[in-house]
Amino acid sequence: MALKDIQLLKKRANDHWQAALVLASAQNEWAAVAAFYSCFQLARASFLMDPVFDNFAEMKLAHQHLTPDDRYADKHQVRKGSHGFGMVDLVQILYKHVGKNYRVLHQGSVQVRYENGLRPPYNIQDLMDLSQEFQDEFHAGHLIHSRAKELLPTDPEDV
Amino acid sequence: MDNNYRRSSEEALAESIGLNALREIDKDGLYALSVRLLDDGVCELIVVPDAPVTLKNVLDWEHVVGEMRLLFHGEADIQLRVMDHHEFHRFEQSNEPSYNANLADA
Repeated sequence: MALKDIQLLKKRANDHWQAALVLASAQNEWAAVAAFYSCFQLARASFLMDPVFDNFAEMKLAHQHLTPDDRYADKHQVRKGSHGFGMVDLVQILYKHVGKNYRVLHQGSVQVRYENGLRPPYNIQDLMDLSQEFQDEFHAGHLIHSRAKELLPTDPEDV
Repeated sequence: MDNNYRRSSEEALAESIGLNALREIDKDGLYALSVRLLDDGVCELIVVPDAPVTLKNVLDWEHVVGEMRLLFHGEADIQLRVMDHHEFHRFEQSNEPSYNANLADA
C-alpha cells in the first residue's frame, strides 16, 4: 500500500536518491530507476501537502476534472476512459515547470525496467540531473500549485 | 456502436490532437509530425526529426504530449513516439489509420 506519511515519503525519497548516486557512480543504468522513484515519493508528498486540494475553486481552475481524491494518486498513468489522473499527468497540471522533467524521468525508468535499457538521447547523467533539479524544486518549496503556477518551465539548455 | 462511425470518430479525434500539437511544437529541425491510432486506444504523437535527437528535443516534445494529455483527458491516451525517416516512410506506406501533417515545407 502506498505511503501517506509525508516524513516517511521524504525519507524514502532520500534513500532512493542515495542508491541512485551509488549506482550512477558505477555507471549502472538502474540509477535512472532509483532517481525517478526518489522524485515519485516527493511528488506524492507534494500532493498530500498541497492546499490546492482543499480549495474547490482553485482545484477546478487547475483542471476541471481534478478531484480531492487525486491527492492520493499512486499510479503513474491512467488509461483512456479511466477516472482520475496518473501521477505523471498530475505533476504536469500542478507543477508545470517540472512536468517535462518528471515525464522524461518516468520514461527512463520504463526503458530500464521493461525495455532494452536507456535509449539515446537518454543517459544516466542526464536523468540524474533532471532528478536533482526536481528534488531542488521540492526542497525550495516550489512544488505547491499556488507557487508553481508562477514559475516557467525550466530551460532544457540548463539540464 | 457502428464500427465505421467509431473509427471515423477516432480519426477525427486524432486529427484534432495533431492540429493542436502542430500549434505547440517547434517545427525547426522537424521533418514530419503525425498521429497514429493504436488498437488499444492509445494515440501516438509521432515526431520525425531531421537531426539527431537531443534531450532538449525530447523534453520539449514530452511537454507538448503532457499538455495534449490534459487537453484531451478522458478522450485519448497520448504517447510520444520518435521515428527516423526510414521508419516513418514504412509507416506512411502502411494502411494504419493516421492523421499526417507533413512539415517538410512548413
